[in-house]
Amino acid sequence: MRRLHCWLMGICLLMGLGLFGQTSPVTGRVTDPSGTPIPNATIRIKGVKGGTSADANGSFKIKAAGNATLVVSAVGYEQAEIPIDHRTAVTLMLRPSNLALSEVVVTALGVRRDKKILGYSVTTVGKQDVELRPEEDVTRILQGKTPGVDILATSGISGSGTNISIRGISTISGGPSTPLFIVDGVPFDASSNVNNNFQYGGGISASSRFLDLDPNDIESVSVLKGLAAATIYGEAGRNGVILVTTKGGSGRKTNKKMEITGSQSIFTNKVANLPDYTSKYGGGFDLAPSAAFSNWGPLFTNPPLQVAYSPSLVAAFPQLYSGKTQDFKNYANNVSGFFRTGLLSTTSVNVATSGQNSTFNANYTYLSDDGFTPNNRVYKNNFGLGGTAKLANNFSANAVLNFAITDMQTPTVGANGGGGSADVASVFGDLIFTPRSVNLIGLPFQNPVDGSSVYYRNGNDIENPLWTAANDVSSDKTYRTFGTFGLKYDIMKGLSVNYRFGLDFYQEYQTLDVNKGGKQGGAAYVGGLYRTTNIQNSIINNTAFVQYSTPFAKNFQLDAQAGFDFRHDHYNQNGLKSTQQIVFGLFDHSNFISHDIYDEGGGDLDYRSEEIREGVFGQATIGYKEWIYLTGTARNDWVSTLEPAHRQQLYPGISMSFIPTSAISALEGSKTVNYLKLRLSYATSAHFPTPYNTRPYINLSTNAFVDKGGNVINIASIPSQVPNPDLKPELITEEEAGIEGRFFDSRVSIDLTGYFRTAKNQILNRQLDASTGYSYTTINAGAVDNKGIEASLTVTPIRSKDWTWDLTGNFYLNRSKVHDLPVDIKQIELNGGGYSNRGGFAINGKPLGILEGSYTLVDPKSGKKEVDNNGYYLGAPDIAVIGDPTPRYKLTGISTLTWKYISFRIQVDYTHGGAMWSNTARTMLARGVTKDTDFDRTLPYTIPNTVKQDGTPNDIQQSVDNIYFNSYGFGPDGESVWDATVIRLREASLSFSMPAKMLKNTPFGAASLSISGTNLWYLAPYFPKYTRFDPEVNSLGITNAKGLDFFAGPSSRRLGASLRLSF
Amino acid sequence: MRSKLNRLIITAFCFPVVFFLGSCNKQLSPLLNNPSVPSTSAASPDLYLNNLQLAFKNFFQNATDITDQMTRQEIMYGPTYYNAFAPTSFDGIWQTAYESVMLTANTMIPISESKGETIHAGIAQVLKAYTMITLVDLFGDIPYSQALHGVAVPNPVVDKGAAVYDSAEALLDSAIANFAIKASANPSNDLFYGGSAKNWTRLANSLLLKAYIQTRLVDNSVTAKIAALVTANNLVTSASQDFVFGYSTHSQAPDARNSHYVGNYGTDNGAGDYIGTWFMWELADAKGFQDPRTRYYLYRQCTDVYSDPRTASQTTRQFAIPCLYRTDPYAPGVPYCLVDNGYWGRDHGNNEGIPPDNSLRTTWGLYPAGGAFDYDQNLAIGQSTGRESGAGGGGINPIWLSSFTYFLEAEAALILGTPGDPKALTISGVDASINKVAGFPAAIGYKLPTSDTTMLITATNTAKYENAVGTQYSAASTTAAKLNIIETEYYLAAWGNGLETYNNYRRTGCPNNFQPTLDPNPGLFIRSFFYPSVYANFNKNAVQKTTTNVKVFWDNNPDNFVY
Repeated sequence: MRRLHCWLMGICLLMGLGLFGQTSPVTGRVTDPSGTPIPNATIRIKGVKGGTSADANGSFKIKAAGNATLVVSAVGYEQAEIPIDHRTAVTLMLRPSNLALSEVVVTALGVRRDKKILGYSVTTVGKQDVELRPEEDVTRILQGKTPGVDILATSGISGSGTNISIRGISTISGGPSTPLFIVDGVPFDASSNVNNNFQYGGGISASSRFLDLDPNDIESVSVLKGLAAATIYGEAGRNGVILVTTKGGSGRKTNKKMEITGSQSIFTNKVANLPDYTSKYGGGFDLAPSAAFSNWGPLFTNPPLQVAYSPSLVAAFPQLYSGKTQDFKNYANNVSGFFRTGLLSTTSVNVATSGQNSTFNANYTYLSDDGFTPNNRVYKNNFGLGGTAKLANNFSANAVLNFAITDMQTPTVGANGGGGSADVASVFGDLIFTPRSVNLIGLPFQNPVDGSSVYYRNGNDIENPLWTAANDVSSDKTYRTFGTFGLKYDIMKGLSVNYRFGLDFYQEYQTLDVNKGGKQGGAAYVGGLYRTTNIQNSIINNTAFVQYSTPFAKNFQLDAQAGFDFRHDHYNQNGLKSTQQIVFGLFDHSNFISHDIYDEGGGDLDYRSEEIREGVFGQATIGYKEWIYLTGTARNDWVSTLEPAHRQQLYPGISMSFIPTSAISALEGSKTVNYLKLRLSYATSAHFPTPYNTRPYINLSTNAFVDKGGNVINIASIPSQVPNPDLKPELITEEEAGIEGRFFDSRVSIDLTGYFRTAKNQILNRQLDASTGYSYTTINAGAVDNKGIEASLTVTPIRSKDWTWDLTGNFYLNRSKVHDLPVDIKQIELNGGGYSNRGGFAINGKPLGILEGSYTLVDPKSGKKEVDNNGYYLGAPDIAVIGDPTPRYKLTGISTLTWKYISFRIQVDYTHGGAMWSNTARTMLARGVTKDTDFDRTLPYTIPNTVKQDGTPNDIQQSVDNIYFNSYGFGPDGESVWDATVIRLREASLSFSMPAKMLKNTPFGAASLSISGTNLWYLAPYFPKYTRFDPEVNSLGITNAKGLDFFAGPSSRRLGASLRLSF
Repeated sequence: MRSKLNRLIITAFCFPVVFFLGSCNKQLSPLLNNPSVPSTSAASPDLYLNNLQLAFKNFFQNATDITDQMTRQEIMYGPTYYNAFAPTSFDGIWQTAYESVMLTANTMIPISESKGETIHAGIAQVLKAYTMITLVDLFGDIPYSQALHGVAVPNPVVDKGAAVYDSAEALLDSAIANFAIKASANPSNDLFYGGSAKNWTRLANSLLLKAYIQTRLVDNSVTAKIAALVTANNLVTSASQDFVFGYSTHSQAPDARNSHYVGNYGTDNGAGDYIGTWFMWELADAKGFQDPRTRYYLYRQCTDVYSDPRTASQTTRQFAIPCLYRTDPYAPGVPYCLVDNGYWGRDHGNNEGIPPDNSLRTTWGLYPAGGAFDYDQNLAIGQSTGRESGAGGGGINPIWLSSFTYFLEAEAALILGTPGDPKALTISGVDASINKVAGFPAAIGYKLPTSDTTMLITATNTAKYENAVGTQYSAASTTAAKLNIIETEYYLAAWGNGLETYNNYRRTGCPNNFQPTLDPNPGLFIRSFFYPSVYANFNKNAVQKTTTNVKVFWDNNPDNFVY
């Protein structure tokens, strides 16, 4: 009613006006219907070039003729034309746009397109959801916010890598399914340069290179999930694309009082989950006190038993401990006291300005994150510079240059077996199951004379975790430059040519520093070890394309792009490992006696690889009115990793978008159905192999042996891979259908997508029985299907002048299936999938990555598990499926409650199902350290519901610690698999934005303060209760396999506040 | 002006398209070759031979580590035979055998033969034959005729063990023929025999002897072949002809030390291995006096558990060696838990948790690991000062010794009636073994830390020992009892080679008084091992064994023949 009034009034006034008038200043305010000012609205005079924009309070000043009409627009509001009517002060009211028709998203090639055109699903996350978060890794911030995207941290170590996959995993033995990162239009390397096997700490201690992105410099993130969206990017986009637009690359216009923005965040970083340890029993076995690894010793007594100090401690500090005894009591903080409260601080400054035809943005962020583990920290320095300019000669240019220094360091976290094994260095391995009677924190850990580790064991055969944290440290320092330069020339209206040069270059220095005097890792470690690796990686990308758009016939519109793309990747690494340290504490190769070019796992530290990918592509969209849009895409690639006969692959795609709310007149202007869009697409993408799989070669190793006479023996060996010159590219196809809608005055909006993706004739690393002479070959065989549903529902139950309450639910499920593996293949171990007898596998008819391991034999008659002659679970000699690590579904709920200037947001993530083999949890049981084993330990025990090998009921009594040690803990793998369902309060934040009124007489354009926390609470109900295990870890590191934990360590909880000021 | 510029720009953008399409294959193809590795033409027979020898050494080491657990020389954790070894335990040996030893041999033999490098070819044939025979001895039927063809035969089926033996014997014959030809060049590194074709010929003949005697239960044609070999006497019969792999004391980059040394002496963490209680008893006590080799074979970190200050209190002792405080499960006379207060090992099939005894238990000595000579120094082993680090790991792998030849000849003479006196041959075997050990410090350039003749091998205690064996042999009334004496002496001489003792045990059932497993119901003795996990899981034609008593083709003894 009010709107009608407005319009009528405007029309009447217009009719009564003359054509010309004198310009005079007009002041005004732009508000929404409730009277709240709308900041940053654009105001121009109809028919006249130029204009102005409102300030943060919605106020503006413009010179206009009294009879002119003002055209007012603002993001999220409908554009309005309002005559001045000779007033000098006006209040302009804008209606919120209740149609999604105007929403613009960044799509492939950095082209901004109306979202309504797209026949595929795109999720956009704005800067408000990314900046000022207690997290340096942008992907972890995206957790739960984008259905279809699966994000899994490898551990709580600050700076550790993150697994990210979109719409499931489509490859059996290809590398990690990390999506393609495109930053400001050009490719950005997001790999993880693990230079060691996960067993030796390569998994968790290595960062993902997207850590080099600065979340505070991000303007927006668009996630292109399907192939239809990503085809243009070529095969690199087959796992989806994460399009990051930095503030410098955004070309966004800025207002006065918003030119400089500074922010400061401080968060604490604490360990989120430690087991609930028993306070009743101490270290030992069979109720006898001792310096065992296990906590099956006697009950604590008052006064406490007296036990001797360990020989190593006495030897190191004879004056303190010789002849003395210590209390055998519960040292309650012996594990918790190991951890510290880390501090995460982020300081960010952004300078932005814009002129009539240009924008400029500079950003600097400094982050320091001291992890909760001693000696774990991340320092990041990010500089970003960017600008856009529209030149008078029809050229437009844009350039972005980013420089990042990421410096991460952590004590080594290897894949510890939980057996107190000295084979693998891991700071968590010997820590989490520390017997309760071990005074870890209260006693020295280092011999003052030679620096060696001193601990409670009589033989001093396990390393003191404090010593590990101080003396066994890996670090990873990266200097990275990435940027883009783009030039666009408008030939005529609707036709332009674009050229874009992209560079991503980094140098990464990795080191492993291990002082002599340790106890774990074997002979090479204990004498001191120093490994340095220098990596150079570059991606140079040249893209040129023509863009053409024109209306044709009546009501039709054509948009087309065609061009080519040239990408050149170079990877170069040199390394040196030295052993036998001379002077304790000094890390320089000259301080070590022996030098070697192989890492701890035997991998070559020196190698290079080079790859070129060339592509031509085209894309055309035909639109009819605003009703329907049809897009066809095709790309043809040539790659250097395949022999000439097979190196080319064409892959097309087609998609459609239909908007019933525009096309069906009955729906137009409907209050119930505000907006409806149906999407349909079919698209393909390719997958090319990594380099060097087609040609035979030999391996040369020098210095393989030195005989008694000092002769150095060099060897030539035949590689374990059979080369395959007939290898072909792999084609991936995907069908996608979706619906988007807004209903009930836009109070309810939904976005629902279903997809089916299949990758046939996989480039498969086929494992071979060694009796063929080889371990594997690369072939084209096998298929992986992924089908899934992504749904997002937002409801706004409250929307009033002061209150708004938005509730968003994101739902994602994915089912995968492996099929068509050649009949002569039983199963294939996933690349990086663990061990050949315990890990993730591909088996026909089963979900990809299903876990196999040893299992307990079952008596076929009774169906009960069998025990051996000692009453322990009887393991089978082979392996079988022990669980499917894929969650059944994931659900995220986000609630945002806003009252005037205060906003309260919480995000809860729920993961249903998915199996996990947890070494942490099983070791807790095996070693009796948690309250799970707080029962009366004097009674003998028989595993219930089991039978002996002859099929008769099991009546073999054993001591309870033996049963827990040999059956429940370290029994067959199948006994240590748990349902990894977990519910988590991922984020909660309370933000306060200073109202414009209060800032009026200050230099500030905006001011906000927020208090937030992450990982505030979680529950994994199916794990043994008191282990308090957090299944959101992956000991395998960055890989397609999941569901294995080898003491990955606890997760992190962060709490703090951020302040932001603009002026 | 404007339109000219337009044209220029369009040309500028189109040119690269044309250029790039044209140059496509030209710039892509060079990137197909891996710049970090050489092409196949770079390998010489010498480099392949080096790889083959080192791989073979690894293969042997792996094989002996598995098998010496069966014959109580090292500890089998068990507790039953069924769960003593997971199939993954054999992945390494399987891969080394096929991918490193046999594939390299197959690759280099034709190259070497075409170049006239017949010693290279002969060595490859001998090492390959040894590997084939050993794989059959461990696993029974194995892929052979279809093996090593790469992706052409991705799932090789097994050949009968007997057929593989036949092929191996033929290969040894070819090797002998190759060694008889004057080679165009000697190997640049022969880590075993320094390029001596004569010694290699002796070895090849000895391996034939081994194969024939191994198959004597199922093949009566071997008697004549054995007799011919014994008569020709071109066998390994003296220490200089012994087939051993020699390590050095080079500790890092690469670590070229004996693996038993690395695993026990390599850090200060103490011993990683356990020596079997029964083996130690057999050395120290069985004859009523100590075998003169004992202090060379074994090193006690703690010479007396009751008087040593480290284990003086009963609490400490109870904890470090809990078996002392359990009921002895064995019949009287069977050694259990601890021998002579210092020979501290573990009983067969004991899988209980490992007590903190790494720096107390008995471990590998000077022979063959290159560890410490036991002169009652009562010190924990390790690398730091104050620790006993012995001979630095410059030990050997005793793969075929002259003593083994004598014992086999004794067995053949006793059972098959081949030439020679079984008793004299047995004594020759003992003598060869004791002399080998006595000469070992000098052979590896290690100066013994003591000259106390009560600890060293001397002519006196050697004679005493040999007399005792002779007396025992003469007193043995049955062939079986005599055979038991031959095999027991073979067993004691073979320290460091579990393969021969495991084979002998399955073939002869001797030594016949082994310590039983701790578990009274351990299941049937492992007559052949489960197939490796990599074979069972990646080869479609593989059929994993379900029981432990699947016998190798040459073993026709009953199920309960051994325990």
